[in-house]
Amino acid sequence: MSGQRRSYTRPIELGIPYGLVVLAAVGGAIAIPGFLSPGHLSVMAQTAAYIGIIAIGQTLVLLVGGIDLSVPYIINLSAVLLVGFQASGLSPGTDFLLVLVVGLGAGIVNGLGISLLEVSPLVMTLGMNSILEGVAIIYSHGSPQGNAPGFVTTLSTGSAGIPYVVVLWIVLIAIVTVVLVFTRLGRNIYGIGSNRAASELCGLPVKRTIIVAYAVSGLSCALGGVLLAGYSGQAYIGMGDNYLLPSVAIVVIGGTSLAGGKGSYLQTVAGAALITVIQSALVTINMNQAGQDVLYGTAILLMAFLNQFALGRNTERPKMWSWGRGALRGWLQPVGRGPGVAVPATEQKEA
Amino acid sequence: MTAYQGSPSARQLSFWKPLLVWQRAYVAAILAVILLVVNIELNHWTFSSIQAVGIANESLPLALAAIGETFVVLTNGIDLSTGSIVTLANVTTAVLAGHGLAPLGVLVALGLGAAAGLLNGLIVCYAQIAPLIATLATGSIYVGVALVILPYPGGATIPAWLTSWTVGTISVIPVSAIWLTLAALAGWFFLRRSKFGVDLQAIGGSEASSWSAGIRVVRVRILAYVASGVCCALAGVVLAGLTTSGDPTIGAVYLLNAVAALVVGGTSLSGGVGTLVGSLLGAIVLSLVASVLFAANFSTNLQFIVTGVIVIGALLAQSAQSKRSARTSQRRQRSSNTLGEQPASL
Amino acid sequence: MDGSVGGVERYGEPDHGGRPETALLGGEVLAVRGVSKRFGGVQALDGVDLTVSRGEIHAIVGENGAGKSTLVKIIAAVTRPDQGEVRVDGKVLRTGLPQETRAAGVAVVYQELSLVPQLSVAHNLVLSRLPTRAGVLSLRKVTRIAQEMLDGLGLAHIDPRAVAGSLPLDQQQMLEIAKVTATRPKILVLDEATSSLGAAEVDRLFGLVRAFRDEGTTILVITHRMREVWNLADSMTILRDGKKIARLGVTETNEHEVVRLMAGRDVQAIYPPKGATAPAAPVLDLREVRLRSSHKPWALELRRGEILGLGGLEGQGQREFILWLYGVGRGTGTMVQGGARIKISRPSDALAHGIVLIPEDRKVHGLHLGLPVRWNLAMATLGKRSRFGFIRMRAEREFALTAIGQAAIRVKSPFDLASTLSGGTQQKVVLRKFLACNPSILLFVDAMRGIDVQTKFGFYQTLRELTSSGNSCILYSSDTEELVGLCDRIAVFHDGVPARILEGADITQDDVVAASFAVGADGK
Repeated sequence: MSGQRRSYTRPIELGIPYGLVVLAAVGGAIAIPGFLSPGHLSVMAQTAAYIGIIAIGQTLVLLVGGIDLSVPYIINLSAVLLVGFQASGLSPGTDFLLVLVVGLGAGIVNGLGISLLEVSPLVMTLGMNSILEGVAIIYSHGSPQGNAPGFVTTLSTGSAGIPYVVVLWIVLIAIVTVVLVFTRLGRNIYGIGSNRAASELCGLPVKRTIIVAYAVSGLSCALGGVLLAGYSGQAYIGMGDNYLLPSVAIVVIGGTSLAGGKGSYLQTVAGAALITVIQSALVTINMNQAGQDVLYGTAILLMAFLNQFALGRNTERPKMWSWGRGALRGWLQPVGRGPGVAVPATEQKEA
Repeated sequence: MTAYQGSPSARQLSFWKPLLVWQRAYVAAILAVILLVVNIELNHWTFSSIQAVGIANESLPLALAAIGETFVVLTNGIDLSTGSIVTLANVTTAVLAGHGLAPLGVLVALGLGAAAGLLNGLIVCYAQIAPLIATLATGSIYVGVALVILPYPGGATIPAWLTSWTVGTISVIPVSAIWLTLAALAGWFFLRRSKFGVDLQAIGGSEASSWSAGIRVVRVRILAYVASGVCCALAGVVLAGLTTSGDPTIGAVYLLNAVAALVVGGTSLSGGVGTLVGSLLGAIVLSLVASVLFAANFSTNLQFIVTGVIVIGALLAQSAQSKRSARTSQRRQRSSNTLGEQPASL
Repeated sequence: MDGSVGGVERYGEPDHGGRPETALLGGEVLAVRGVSKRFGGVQALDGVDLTVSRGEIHAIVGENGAGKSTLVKIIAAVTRPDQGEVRVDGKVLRTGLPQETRAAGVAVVYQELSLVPQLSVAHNLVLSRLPTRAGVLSLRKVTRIAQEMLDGLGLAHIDPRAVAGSLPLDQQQMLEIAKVTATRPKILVLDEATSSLGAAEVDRLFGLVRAFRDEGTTILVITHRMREVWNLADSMTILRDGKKIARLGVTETNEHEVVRLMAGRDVQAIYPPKGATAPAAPVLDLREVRLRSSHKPWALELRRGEILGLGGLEGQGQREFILWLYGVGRGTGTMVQGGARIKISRPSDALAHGIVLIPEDRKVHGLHLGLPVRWNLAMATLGKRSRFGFIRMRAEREFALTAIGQAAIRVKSPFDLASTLSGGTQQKVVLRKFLACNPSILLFVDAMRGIDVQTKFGFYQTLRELTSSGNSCILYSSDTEELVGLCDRIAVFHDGVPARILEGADITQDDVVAASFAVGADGK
């Protein structure tokens, strides 16, 4: 048999998002002098790194068929705790580790609720977000005081030719990609996202994998919160609010399917790069927040639309009518528009 | 022989069955009553009308947003642009009121809400983009537009009539309570007694069956999003009356709270089951929670935690109930799509 | 045993209402002429003709891939043919909205129910014509109309206010029929409508269908169950590879000839010879078993090298039993394997003990449709080709290529998505995936439903090869013929308990059916 396909991710699935990045970069370079200068590239890479690291978790969670809406307050809480612990005298190393553990813990709680108690991911993570908001506000009495530990600030803003954050990001990209492509955990994630029931019957550790996915999400958001705190030197409530939409958006723009089982982190990286380039261009031409919001939303819609049709996402999926999970499926899948969708499914191959 | 022929059990249950949906709203109602009592007790049994007005006023915008969200969730969709539409309507009203055109402001706000809903519906149905990401994106767009209209909070003179019509009082009775009652009645009517309501639930229950029964699925879906937009716009207008100013960040919190109210009120997030009245009651419950916390001198920051816990708790209760009824019905039937006599959680 | 509406009929005896199969009363109500349809590269239908006379019950039979479902879609006016036309009562049928098709007099009952489970029975029945006055629904009218519809079909015992999804499946199917026949159609099409129903339920359904026929409705039945064709139909059309092969009256032919015509060649000895009936050592000893539906604890043993069938009426606990064995269901009991007691609480435990489950709905439970064939094949045995959590890619590639070659799985590349395969090939992938676990006990839940005869034969061969090399199988099939042809022993279930065990090389279908009803009657 001819080797028509060599791997799970088709070349075009990486080609489209990265192609668009190149297009946007070139467009920016034409319109704005110095857009692609080493200095500016460095800044853009740094900005992309923050959202890219945060979106590691979102990518895994979306691949496994869920969603994580607790991103904002895991970030906020992590930043708040970081400066708070520092102010109360903990050593920077312990501080850092403790914050990561908290993020991990929050993610595990999410995972437990979703896998064991079968709470819908949307509501579980939204509820968790709310709870963490309360914790953050109470801990900091509304206004966090203190500074981030020195080494975090250095990590976040320092550079040796390439910004440290970017180096960190590259390392993480490598790790995540290796895990997704070469390990059993990665295969489990794709399997569960693709068909949870079939995965259970194959003996895959479904609950455990879901918990791991959300745990990693908590961890990556915590890391993101730490880095953000390091960037600005301090923490403030609401730091992470602007990162929820982008974390989902760049995953979608990269082409990962919202319903799970299809996509990769490399695609998310492309999405991060694309959004950063566009945003950077907008900021440089002094577009205000309002314009950015509008263009952000439009860009997401266009990319989702493109992915829908260009990558043939309109494939029919078997319906699993189950109470908890049905909710998420209904919102993550394109809705039917009438004829062609509604006829009771008969196998297409058996005409 | 087995129980095929006229299973009496089906008959026995059926008297209670239609009430099953309302059963979920009962939970919210009971919670509301309990919280009300707690509230009164914490205030040492002096329930002044000021507090009643306050609670009703806080509940109204949330109830409206929750009702709007319910329209969409019933069709097995989701609207994450709720908060943004509230914001949009709010700033529009404020800005136009600032120019002395308050009545026009209200109309334009409502119109914008409808238009936003229409856009949502069109994108979801025709561009075939998943509702979650579509409304997340349009939400961003609407917030952007709101920021263009009113970049900073404040500075608009809301005429007194608007305030008194939305959050004033008629002798002792808060106007908002009247609006709430009207909304509840309208909600009941819409869902139980109109073709639109039945269509909504049918689509949420099974889109394929609805289509083959001749229901215009696309049209009803788009209308659901439009209805949601209008309700959220109403909430934004009410908020303008309540805070007597405009604020481009005001709507952000309404998304989570609307979903929370919906869940507490017994609407299923997978569509087809739920009531508008339930969502309204859920909104009242959430406002009462805030009020109770305040009266008990707890930090209002605790409110977030409590809201989160209530939402998760309500959802657990919902799913436990669903599993129980799914199990009893599966005891008497096989389904070829689930692996036999097993709760559909496989 | 009275299991049907409209009179006592013993299972197996056809009732044609005393009418000749080619009705003399009034011309063609359905005429399909020269219909062709192409899907992508596949010619689904090629110049098919079909005529049905008024008052006839006509069956369409053919293997999967023969074009039955495409033909139904064209008759139901959902798809437009590339060539040819469909006429109902002389008038050309145009594709369009469901209402228009209904107005033309064609009504279809599909295998998948088209009820809205969350709505009440009344709402479901009336959904396509809600009685409104200026948008306001009249609940009284809804209930009244629904009650009339139910009474008209002898379904008065169903409460219109009940929630549709809570009714037993056969009642739901009856509702489906009530809904569809509300506007007395000229032609009623049953598209595999009995696939999810058991014997007694099918009887009821047929009684209803005959009642409709007596009232003048013409019925079109698409089914893969030969018994039903002979039980119900007056005549049949046989399709093969998109072409019409023959149109025959039921009395003009017999089952073997029909099967031959469907397959295009002589299909002999579909079932390979059974194993020795000498009692062999048990490989699995089950004691004190109590499923949720069992009214008392029971014991059963599975012997080495045998195929044990699970018989009895639908829903008597057969599926429940298999699911419990695999660690997916609820139930209690002791399992002893090879002398040692084992505990299975989840599928991975079962796999570890050499027990695999081939599920019935391969698309929903058997395959990961969006993933490549290679991954699907490897999904149950990832542990065997991994070290420290890392998958050995080369080993997996070899494994996949070997499996594809051995099972003759037709793919262009191992990375083709599972969704691109045909039904039979998909089932091969599922089987291969689980065979790779080196199981000693295989569980099957209606694994061969909807598969063409060729693949089925290969599957039966595989089963026998497996058992002759020492493995054992437990097979649950809704097709009694398959049970009888394949199994060495059949445990007939009733109320969650295997009440009777049939053994011997000469079990017949009638034996099984009689046992299914008999255990019920004496409550053994």
